[in-house]
Amino acid sequence: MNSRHVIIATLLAAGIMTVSCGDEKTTPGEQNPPAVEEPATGDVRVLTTTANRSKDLTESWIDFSSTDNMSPSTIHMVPSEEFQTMDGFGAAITGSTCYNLMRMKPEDRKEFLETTFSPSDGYGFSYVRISIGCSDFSLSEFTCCDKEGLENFALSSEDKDYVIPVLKEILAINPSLKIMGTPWTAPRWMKVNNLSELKPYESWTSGQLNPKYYADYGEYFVKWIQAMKDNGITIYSVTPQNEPLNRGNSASMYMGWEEERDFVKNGLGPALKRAGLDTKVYAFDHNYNYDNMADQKSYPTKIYQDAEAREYLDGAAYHNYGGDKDELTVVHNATPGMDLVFTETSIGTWNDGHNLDSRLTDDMEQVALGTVNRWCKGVIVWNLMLGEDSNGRYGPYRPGGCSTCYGAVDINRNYTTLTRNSHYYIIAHMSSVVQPDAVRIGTKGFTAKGLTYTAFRNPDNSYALVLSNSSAEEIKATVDDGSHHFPVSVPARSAVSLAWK
Amino acid sequence: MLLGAAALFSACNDDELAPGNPVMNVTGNLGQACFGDSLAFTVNASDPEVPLSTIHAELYFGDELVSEEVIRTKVSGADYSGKILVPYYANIPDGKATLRLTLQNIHFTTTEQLYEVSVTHPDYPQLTFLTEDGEEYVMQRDARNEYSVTQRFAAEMRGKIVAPAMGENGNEIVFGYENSEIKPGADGSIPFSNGAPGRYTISFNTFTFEGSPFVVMSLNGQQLEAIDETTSAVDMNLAKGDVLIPEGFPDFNDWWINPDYFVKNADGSLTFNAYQGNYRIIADTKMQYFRVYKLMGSDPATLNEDGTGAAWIIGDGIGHPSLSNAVGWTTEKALCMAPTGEKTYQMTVVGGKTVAVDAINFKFFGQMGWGVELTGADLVSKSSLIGVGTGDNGHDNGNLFLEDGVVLQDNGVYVITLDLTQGIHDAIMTVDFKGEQQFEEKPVYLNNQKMSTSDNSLYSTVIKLDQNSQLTFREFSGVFDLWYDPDYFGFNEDTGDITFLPVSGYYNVTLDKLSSSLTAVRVNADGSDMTLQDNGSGAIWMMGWGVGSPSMNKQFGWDAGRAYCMAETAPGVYRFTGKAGPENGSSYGDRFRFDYISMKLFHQNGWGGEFGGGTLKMTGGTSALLKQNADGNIELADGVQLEQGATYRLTVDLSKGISSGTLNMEKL
Repeated sequence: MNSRHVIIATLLAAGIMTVSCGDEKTTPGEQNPPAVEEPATGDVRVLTTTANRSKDLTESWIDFSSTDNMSPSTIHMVPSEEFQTMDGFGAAITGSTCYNLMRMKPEDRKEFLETTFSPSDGYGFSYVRISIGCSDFSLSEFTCCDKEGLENFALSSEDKDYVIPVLKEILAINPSLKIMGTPWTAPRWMKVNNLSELKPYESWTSGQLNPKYYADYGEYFVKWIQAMKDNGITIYSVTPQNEPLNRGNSASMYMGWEEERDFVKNGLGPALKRAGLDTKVYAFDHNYNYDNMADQKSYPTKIYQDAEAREYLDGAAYHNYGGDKDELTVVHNATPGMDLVFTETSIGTWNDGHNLDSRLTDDMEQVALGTVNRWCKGVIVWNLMLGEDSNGRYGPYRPGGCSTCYGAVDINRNYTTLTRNSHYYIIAHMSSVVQPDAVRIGTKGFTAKGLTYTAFRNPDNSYALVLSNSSAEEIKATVDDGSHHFPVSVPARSAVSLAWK
Repeated sequence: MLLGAAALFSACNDDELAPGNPVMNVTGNLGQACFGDSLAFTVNASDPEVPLSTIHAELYFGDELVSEEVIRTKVSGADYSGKILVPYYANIPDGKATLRLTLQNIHFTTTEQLYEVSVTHPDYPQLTFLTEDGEEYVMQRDARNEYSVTQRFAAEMRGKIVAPAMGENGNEIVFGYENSEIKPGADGSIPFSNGAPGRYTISFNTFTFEGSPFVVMSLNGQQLEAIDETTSAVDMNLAKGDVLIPEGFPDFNDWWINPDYFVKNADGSLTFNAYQGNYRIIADTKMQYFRVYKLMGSDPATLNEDGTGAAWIIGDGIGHPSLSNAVGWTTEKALCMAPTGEKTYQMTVVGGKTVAVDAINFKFFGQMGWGVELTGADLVSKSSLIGVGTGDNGHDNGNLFLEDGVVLQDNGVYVITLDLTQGIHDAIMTVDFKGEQQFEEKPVYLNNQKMSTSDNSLYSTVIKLDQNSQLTFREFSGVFDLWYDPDYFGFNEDTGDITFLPVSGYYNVTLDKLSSSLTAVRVNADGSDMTLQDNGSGAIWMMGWGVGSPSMNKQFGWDAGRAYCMAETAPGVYRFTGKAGPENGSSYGDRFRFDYISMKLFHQNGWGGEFGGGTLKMTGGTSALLKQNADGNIELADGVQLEQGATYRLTVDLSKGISSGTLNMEKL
């Protein structure tokens, strides 16, 4: 708010402008006008983060205006226009993330987790993703059944010593947290070199699921969900395979769309049904561009064409390591009845991930707002926390995995100093004002170069509006929900979250 | 805070740094304004202690500063007048704005006054649409904030909308176009467009600033660029099976779809049916079809020696979308055969519709013009229907002809293929009969009488009509787009009423959707051509050059059976009215050639009885324009040219009997 606006708003609030003849006020000249204090409370809660961190999820308040709203820069909320219902926002609680968290002092960890996950006193992260077995941010390669035969199924030590304790701590802070599970690979004894030769395949990477184990692998998912439940952890959703078109990484398994269709139809879906589990299943879980494999284009929509497989699926999940987010719209338009969720994106050396100035608004536009504006019900970024090692890299990471990744939050070698990166900010800006089960609603009116925004109506009938300004200029606007209106400033290169009732 | 501020106020003193005591007395009607006004105010500004600096006027819409003005105040005690613009934005409701006037002295001491200004939308009685060509159209007020004008417009009407100044503080506001929005003061013209010329409504809302129409023709979102009034084009890379979504094409259901290039789907989309490549698609909104040809770079493709490229057809007896647009030997109208492979091409024709059934004379070319062509030595016909001329077999070299005794079937579908797999000097043509085209008639009714048609384009009916009666069409909504023979029909541009002008009787009325015209011919009750009766009533028929209808592009010539039937507008009185125009490039209504006429009047549609030399007495100033030769031919008088663009009327009056007929030509 510039000084003019402060003055006029103050005068308006003082209620002195009630007659058409002029009210008069005289002010003697001053060299340094008194600083205007930000109000400590008000009608609209505001969180602001600037790319230079001069505002760092800084809270402020705005009061509703009492004037007629004639602002030509008005963003109108259109609650009658409804889009998807939101599941939540969060990050992956990988083995590495949990390892780092467990190395922190318990009180430091508690404070961080409360700040991150508390819906009332923190930023309310609400949806996380964990691996079924290992991921490429684990402490080793493993599955929950490395010895042949499902009777050998057991949670790993990484699960028991790191992931489950951390999840329990988070659930104590945010009991309504949603958790998605994803395998990086099936147990090696279920893998073959290819589907024509069907030769045993002992590698953690690549290989394909032997069709004769579709039923067993479905049971493997059920056992894992039940084992987590036994530990007090409810699994909300799963994907059949992380990055099914990626044969590399430290652990992986190739699963083309026809295989995933058949596995969902003949293994995973029936197993979940038999077990009475209503765990949501999202197909694909990979890049917008299908890794440029022509025969894998439109991977999930091809699976949906099989009515039996479609019956077991809730939608599809996407990553953004290739292609463009507009693919989400293409998939939604092709199959509007199926959900979409965004499940992985990372920062690292390749995208100048520690430079908030280059990342904040880009990640707001491409990930937080960009995917939600294209029908995603949830947005989950990659590792919540990575730790710096003696080589200046962040992990722990696995050989063949990502040695150049950064976490949403990075912690120093002494596990004492945290650095919040763009992915932490973009999730916090969503989850702090958009409650689970909020409905994305329409907007109309003001637009400006660099300005992106998304509006929601929360289950408690409060409104949320999240804005990003990638331009070098502050953008001023008025927000109008039909009953109230108020001015908002979106600083240059910043993210702003608003919530009001 | 206000009290605190007041407590800080101090009286004047002699100190150089004294704050001073600026005082304003404001006059002016500041309580009300319209969007777009300039709100006038006068301030008597004074400060007995410190020199004054400025008066700052600021207008706020809600919390947002939207307008400001600064006035220098050099003399204490003087009156200063100013105006501050009340901006006019889209979608801003009427409401209370805030005007703040601040007087400041050179020691930065200020005094300010706040005014609540009720701002409302101006209620214009009418607006003016001003085109780039300088034409003005009044946009009538239809409702609060809604204005429109309905006229016969060109396909695109570029211009600005002018709102008049309202009240003493009002300003004339000119709405232009910027960043795809209509805005006050924008420099660009508003590109209203309807896709096709004709009668349509241009509208504008002074609250939302929304206008219409903005019909943009596009294929898969790719906008077509206008070539002229009725044609637009887009270049696309297409492969067989690609689906094209057409948008903005007027009356698209009536369009002829070339089956070699497209298959029309139930949802209105088109599936590309030819071989992959770059193509130019030209939408012709007048003739309602897509002309498609292959491209090489950005130019029409040519045929290569090895058979790749594009094959073209030029000549008589073939045309798209129908034979009424026959190619002839006008090379610019060449038809590009649809490639079905690298070196194979196809053209599907329908007897009586796109190919003549009894005589053809066209050939294959290697470009849209003269140059490479397939001769009889290059081309072998594998068809028993169509042969290839060699120059020695009674047909020009390379020209295709119907074999002896062959008459193509009306509505019969024939696929002509050209196989150039072995190169252009070893070409093979086949012609396959594919059965009869199913014709789904789209009936049109005139005065509740169903008109007959065989192509949903040309409709006609023999109907009894009374002079000065109204004609009504059903299942046809394009009456505002038609050209009406002015001696047969009167058309009211405002109401759309069509009045029949000639004497009562039977007429064969023809509605040509393709050329957008309505014409009539006097007939007997059985539909046969009327002839001139002994009492001078009936019909007079005109043949010759320098006269034509609806333009010089269709001169009557000396083809018996295709003579023009003059309208009998009163018993025994016949009229032919038209503008004088050039032989080439004439427009509808140019029915006299300005520099040459040689025509004759007949008693029937063809040779036989005629008005010979001296049988019609020229009256008035006719002899200054026309002369009658001894053989009865009527020509322009020696050294005379008609005035281009002027309207002339030729009247033959036989009301006193055929032997006492008169001929009159006058400029109207």
